[in-house]
This record gives sequence, C-alpha cells and structure tokens, in this order.
Amino acid sequence: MVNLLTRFRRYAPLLILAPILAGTAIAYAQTFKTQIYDPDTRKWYNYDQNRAMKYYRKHGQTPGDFQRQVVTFRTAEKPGTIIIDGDKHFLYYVLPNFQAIRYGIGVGRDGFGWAGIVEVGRKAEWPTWTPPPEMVARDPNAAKYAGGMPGGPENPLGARAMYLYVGGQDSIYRIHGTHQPWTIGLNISSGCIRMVNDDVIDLYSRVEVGARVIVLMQGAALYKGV
Amino acid sequence: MVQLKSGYAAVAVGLMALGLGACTASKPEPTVRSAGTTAPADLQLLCASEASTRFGANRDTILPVSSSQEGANRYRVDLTMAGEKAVCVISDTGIVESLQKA
Repeated sequence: MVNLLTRFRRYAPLLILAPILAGTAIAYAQTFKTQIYDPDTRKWYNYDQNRAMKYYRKHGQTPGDFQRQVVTFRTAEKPGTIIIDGDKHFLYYVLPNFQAIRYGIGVGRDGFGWAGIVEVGRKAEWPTWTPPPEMVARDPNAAKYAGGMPGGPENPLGARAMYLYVGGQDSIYRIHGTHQPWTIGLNISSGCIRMVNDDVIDLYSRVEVGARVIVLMQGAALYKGV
Repeated sequence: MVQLKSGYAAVAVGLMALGLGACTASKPEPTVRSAGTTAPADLQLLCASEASTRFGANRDTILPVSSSQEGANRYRVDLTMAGEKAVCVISDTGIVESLQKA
C-alpha cells in the first residue's frame, strides 16, 4: 500500500498531463546520472547532490562542460530551436552555420523524466512560483506559498521561466532558473529543466515565443502526436 | 659573453615554454560524462530528419527514443514515428548509413 502511494505521488504530475496529451504514450525514464572526473585520482565518480554541492562550494561554478559555450551542432533544425539532451544534461540553442550554444541543465529525477516535442508558449521574468497541490499537502514550507511565491532570488524558478506548451496548452513543464546552481548536472526536478540564472537570462534573451523545443531522453516517452 | 649566455638561456626557456604550451594546447579532457552512452543529440536528430524525408512523415511525429554506440565510429538510433518504429545507423561524421522501419 505504501508502495502504491509512493508510486502515485511520483507519477501524479504526469497523470495530470494525461488529459492534455490525449492519445499520447507515457512511460517513465530511468535517467542516466552524471559522472565527474577527478584528475588527482584519475577516476570517474558519480556526481550526486553531495559531490555537486562540494564542487560548487570549492569552485564557485559548475564543472567546465556545464558552462555556457558555443559548439558544433550538425542539425537540420532551424536557428532558434531548443534541443534538450536529458541524458547528458545539456540544452542546445541552435545557431546558424551548424553551431549551437550549449548550456548545462538539471532534469527530472527518476520517474519524472520525459521526452517529446513542445514549444515555448510564454516567457516570464522573475516568475511567480506556485507549488503544486500535492507539494502543498506534504511540505509545510511549500504550503506557505500555496497562493504563489513572488519572484526573487529565493524563488525556485529563478530569474526567468519559459513555459512549455503542447497543442496550445501549458504542459506544466518549464525551462527556468534556479536558486540552487549546484544542481546543474543532476536528476533532481519534477520534470522541469533548470539552468543557472546567468544562463537562463541569456537563453531567455534569445528565445522567441513559439520556438520549437525537442526533448530527448533515453527510455522516456511522452510525445505529442506520436 | 655573460649577456650572450643569458640570451641563449632566455631563448631556451622560451622554446621550452612553447613546447609545454604545445603539449597542453590539445583538446581539453571532458570534466563530466553521462553514466550511459547515447548518440550525440545532433546525430539523433539527423536520423529523425532523414526519416521524415525518406518516409514522408510529419517531423512533429518523429522522435529518437533511444540510442547506443555500435563499434568505434557509429551509433544506432531508435526512432518512433506516428506509432511506427524505425532504426537508423549513423556514423560519427553524420552520414546515415542505414535507415529502415522496424
């Protein structure tokens, strides 16, 4: 019974999506985790929350590969498209001439990963965060903000949010900033894509409402029209 | 003479520095990686694009759902498209080597 309740809680946000995504397939991803290289021991280690927090405390930034950079990207997608590689924790913003800006991201934890083709439905600066009802029910801190937490540096959505829509309706997922920058590279969210605030501000300034967003994640399914 | 020797020393140090620079100017090693191996995102989407062209399918209905490395220089990408499945093999240079409905 406890197991069933736990499962229900885990999948509840996706169940909410079911009516919106009528006719779509839904499955649950076992998201790949990040590993980090230690040049001292010459070994790879799992990049979990503790290690990520220690790294950020020591270096004041995320690992180099997760920092914003222009990379070669061979694609037929038009400039302005966003491509999210949930397995590698990268978000690409397509530029002309087979290039893209690559940003590090945090993605959904186990059971909350998804894949699909959506679009940016709207954008907001310093967005209000409204915790979902199930979070309000279980978390007294979240309950304080049942009516919405105003935008600001402590707001979990960070400096900017781009709301992802499917068929003209809000999918409940967003690309947003964070007040926890060390979580980039982790599988930690309830399905939203999080970026450090500097990066989300940069992306926000480039992205137009209506931009196509392709989300890739091994084993996940939640496709509009597929 | 001392000045000449100093000059040689400076050049030698400079060359050594250049040499070291050359050694360290190679492509930086990755700092992070995924625990699982998947095809690069651009290659996955090249497969989807090719499937759209070849099978005449709406590109909004085609999505790569899984991928894996096959040998040293190629990847297998599994696609779903409007209820059907397709398998694409693509080289790491972006050439689609095979694509067929599963």
